[in-house]
Amino acid sequence: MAKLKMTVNGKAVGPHDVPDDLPMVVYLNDILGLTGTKFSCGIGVCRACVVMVEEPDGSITTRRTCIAGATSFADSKVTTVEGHATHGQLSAVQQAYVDNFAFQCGYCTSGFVNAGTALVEQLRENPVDKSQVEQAVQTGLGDHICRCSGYVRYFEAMRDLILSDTTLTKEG
Amino acid sequence: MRLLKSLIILALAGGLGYLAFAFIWGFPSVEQRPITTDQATIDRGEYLTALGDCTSCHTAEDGASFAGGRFLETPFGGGLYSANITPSSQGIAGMTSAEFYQVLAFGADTVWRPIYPAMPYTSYHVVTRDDSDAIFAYLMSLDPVHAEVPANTLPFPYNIRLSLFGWNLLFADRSAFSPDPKRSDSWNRGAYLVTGLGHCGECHTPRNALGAMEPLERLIGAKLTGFEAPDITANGLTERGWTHKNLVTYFATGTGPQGTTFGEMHLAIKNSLSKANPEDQSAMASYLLNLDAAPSDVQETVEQETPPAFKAYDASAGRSLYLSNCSLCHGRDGRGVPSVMPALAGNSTVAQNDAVNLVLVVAWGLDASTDYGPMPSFADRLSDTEISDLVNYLRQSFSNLDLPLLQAADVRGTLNQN
Repeated sequence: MAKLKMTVNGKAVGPHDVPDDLPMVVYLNDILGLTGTKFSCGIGVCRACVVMVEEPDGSITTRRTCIAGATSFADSKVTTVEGHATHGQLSAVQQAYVDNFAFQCGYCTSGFVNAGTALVEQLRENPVDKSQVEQAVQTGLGDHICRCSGYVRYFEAMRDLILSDTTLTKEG
Repeated sequence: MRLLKSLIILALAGGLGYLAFAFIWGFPSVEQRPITTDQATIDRGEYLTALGDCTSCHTAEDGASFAGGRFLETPFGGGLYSANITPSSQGIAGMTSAEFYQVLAFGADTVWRPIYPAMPYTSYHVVTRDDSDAIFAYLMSLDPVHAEVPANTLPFPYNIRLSLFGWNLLFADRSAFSPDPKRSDSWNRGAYLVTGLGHCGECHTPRNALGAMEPLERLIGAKLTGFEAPDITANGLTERGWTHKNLVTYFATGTGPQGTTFGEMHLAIKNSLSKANPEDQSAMASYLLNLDAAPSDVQETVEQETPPAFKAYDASAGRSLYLSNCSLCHGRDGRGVPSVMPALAGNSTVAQNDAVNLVLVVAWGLDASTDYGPMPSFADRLSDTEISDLVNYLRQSFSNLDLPLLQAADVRGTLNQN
């Protein structure tokens, strides 16, 4: 057992007594009541369970919550799919997915929202050449699985969103 | 002036002497034989080519099979590109079976262009001429691939090819395979394959400063770049739990109770050992475990639920790290999930004495293979102390050997060297 506290969607949570091998996705779903993060394959392959994590240096990464214990997130700053919209207003990434009809059943969507947002944040720090955008989307989202086959629409949504924001790219 | 003249004469005499040595000793002359073209020989050659794992080095990533161009890093700075061994003008077109055998077994078919020992003629010298001819027949039956191989990037003085004859004189054995009449046919077949076409020692035997295998340290485990090739002597294998049956399963599938293949060995399993027939797989296992015959299906030792605690040490930090970072895939008890997640309990990599591979896998992770998904890397998330705590917990809990405990400095040392 460990005393666990962290920041989730900007709010301090815990301390909670949790077993060392409690999966983070179960902690989010059952203890914090944040059910938007989905458990799917359970072996770290499909990436439906991906959340965003802000590292101590301020950089944004993603982590899979089905294969990582909640205690490995101790004192981290985590963002789940519930933490993106503000005052009922979808984030740019969420809106792009809606506009492109990217998802159907929606089970993979929280993972795509977190990975897409992390990609945007990473590009804001390190913009890429416009010709490299498709590759960046492929690298950022390419491992995520969508059983309804929304891949092309997720891909186009992210590509168009990145190309429409001049702070994310640079001229070659 | 006189001294200079003497030195020049001495250098010239030395050079001419060395050239004469290269011409006389450089490569034994062998009997000319016509290329065999019957299908049975070509098929046998295809099988032997797989056993020799020619494709793993002679095929570039995403390149055509056997067309060469794969970069082979050396410890001397720079590296070599493997040759095109298809029957094209950039490859082996125009070669005779005698020249092919000379290159395969002795590393040279001309005094001007000896081959670097990255090509394992240092092992292939035990391959019989008949087997060499069958391999040649198979390669010559392939479609020619017209692909130029880039120039090697070895620095001076390693780029002086002629010097290789001196290296060969010092280090390259030329003896043919001699079966041990006291051992079984299966053991001898295994010996022929392991020491010859299988060229296992090329990775698993340590090398000296000039890159030659140490003859007295055969198969005790070695490190070239990145991961370590473990100890595969009979003692080393038995100690880490390998049995004949599990070794054969590992050759055939790349996985088994002692773990799954990764790094360079993944290619050796995929392209070579898994293609060996069951008799040859069994023979290689028999030789490596020093058995004359495959043991009858004995009851495997039942794994202990709780291995004995060898050392007084505080496992709590390591156990917490294991539960939090590893157990969700590998299981609380380290048994993994069959065919999905490798077991750590009884895993041969966990039981390696110096823990180099275990530290590297934890720190770097592993790429996905054809059978398993990727293993995440933990170097960014766990400190050296945490990795040493975790590795100590793994080794004390999931191996039946009394392995040394690691300190954070050992982890840092391993990571800095790689």
